[in-house]
Amino acid sequence: MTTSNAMTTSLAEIHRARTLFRWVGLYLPLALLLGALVTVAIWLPRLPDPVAMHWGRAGADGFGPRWTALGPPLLGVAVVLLIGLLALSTHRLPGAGTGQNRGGVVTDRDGVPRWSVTARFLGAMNLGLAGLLSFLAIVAAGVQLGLADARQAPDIGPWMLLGSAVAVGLVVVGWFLQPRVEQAADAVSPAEPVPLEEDERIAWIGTATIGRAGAWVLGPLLLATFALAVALAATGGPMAWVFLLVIVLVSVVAAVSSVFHVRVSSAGLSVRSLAGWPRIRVPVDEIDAVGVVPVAPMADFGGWGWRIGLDGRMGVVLRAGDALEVRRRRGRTIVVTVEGAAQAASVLAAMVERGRREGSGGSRTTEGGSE
Amino acid sequence: MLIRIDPGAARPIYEQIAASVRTDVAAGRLRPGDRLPPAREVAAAVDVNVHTVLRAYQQLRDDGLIDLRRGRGAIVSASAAPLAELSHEIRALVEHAARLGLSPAALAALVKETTP
Repeated sequence: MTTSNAMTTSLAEIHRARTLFRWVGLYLPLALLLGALVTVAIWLPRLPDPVAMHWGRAGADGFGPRWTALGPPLLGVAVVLLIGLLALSTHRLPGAGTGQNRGGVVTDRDGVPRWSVTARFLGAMNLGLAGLLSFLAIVAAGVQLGLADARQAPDIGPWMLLGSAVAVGLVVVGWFLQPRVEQAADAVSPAEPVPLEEDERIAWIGTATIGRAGAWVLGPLLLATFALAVALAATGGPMAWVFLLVIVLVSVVAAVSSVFHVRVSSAGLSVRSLAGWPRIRVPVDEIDAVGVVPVAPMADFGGWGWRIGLDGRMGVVLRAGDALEVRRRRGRTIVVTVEGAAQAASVLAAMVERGRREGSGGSRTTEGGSE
Repeated sequence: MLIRIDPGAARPIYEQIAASVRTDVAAGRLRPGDRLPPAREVAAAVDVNVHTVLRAYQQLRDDGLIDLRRGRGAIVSASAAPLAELSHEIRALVEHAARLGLSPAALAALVKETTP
């Protein structure tokens, strides 16, 4: 993590990964969903009206007009498109510009092309989700074929289990159909400590705010889920309120974690959200190394916000670009995308250096250092 | 924002805080419209009294560098623009010196010797 072992990821490799992502995460899922849509559409005249759309302990307990049988695959198409296009195009979003865009392949500032494990995972998830929704739509419609009244619909519990197993299988298959793209670790530039006078006190205060790319992705996603919750509430689904509550909670969390106050002082590093929580504190004597590292939110952390990366780093990742990186003696490395990361790193490095000097000197002499 | 205080220096601490803000504006790190951290936060960070920080902020306001508004905090004012433009001039000077074969360190030494 400290140094980049000059690993070369060729453009061709990434092109191949993106092509396979398109097949696994877009074309195949869409084909499955379209197949289900066409099948159910052909069956529509033979389905009871209203049709059963929800099953509980005592059999079918939720009903809707006939066309709602098309609901799950339609929802699937929307989700698959949203996630698939998002994964393929995050690097085109405003503000994501850590590097140039070469033939649809995002590269970092050194021209090294990037592809992410996150994208690979999203592709596999798309396939699984499409499989599950298609399967369920066909089963739910299939068991009601020719019924006069949807209340006679048999239990589909065993089918649900089978569908879930198929979905998990598809996720696994989708994962292994896509190539593993080795990505060189970003080089951390060690921070040069700010020169300090003997008794000088120094502090750095900054704010990390969400970049436009993150806002562009999170905003519509939140709106979409909110609209879904409202739609559920309007159709009187019993879970609508729980759903709505979750959405409100998630929105609040997203809102408070879009701005973080960052403070570097003799107490070490402190990062806290507008609301005061979540927060991180790293005392100086727990710091092993301080540096600056370029961050690509989607590729390195799978998105924006308070994150844990696939490599175990924990971070406040709100925009692409330079971030403060603090390696701790124990526990996760902390990454914070904050304006002026280089200066923050230099100040923190000076604090760490002074702490070590005082730590080694203070044990021998009583004067100096202990304020 | 970078705040540096040397308690051993002859200059009062509030003036050193004000100078830190001024340096940040001149370096282009703080721009007109930017909000300064609350006095409480600065005081805690460099371990001084809140009133010392408030006094620094008042001095900056008297110099027309920031606006102090109740409830909105301290905001770098539009009249700080000339100081902010200094960063461009500094960059130009450094580049000019580099073209003439003078290192930034040598240039800084010359700047230190030069009295207005």
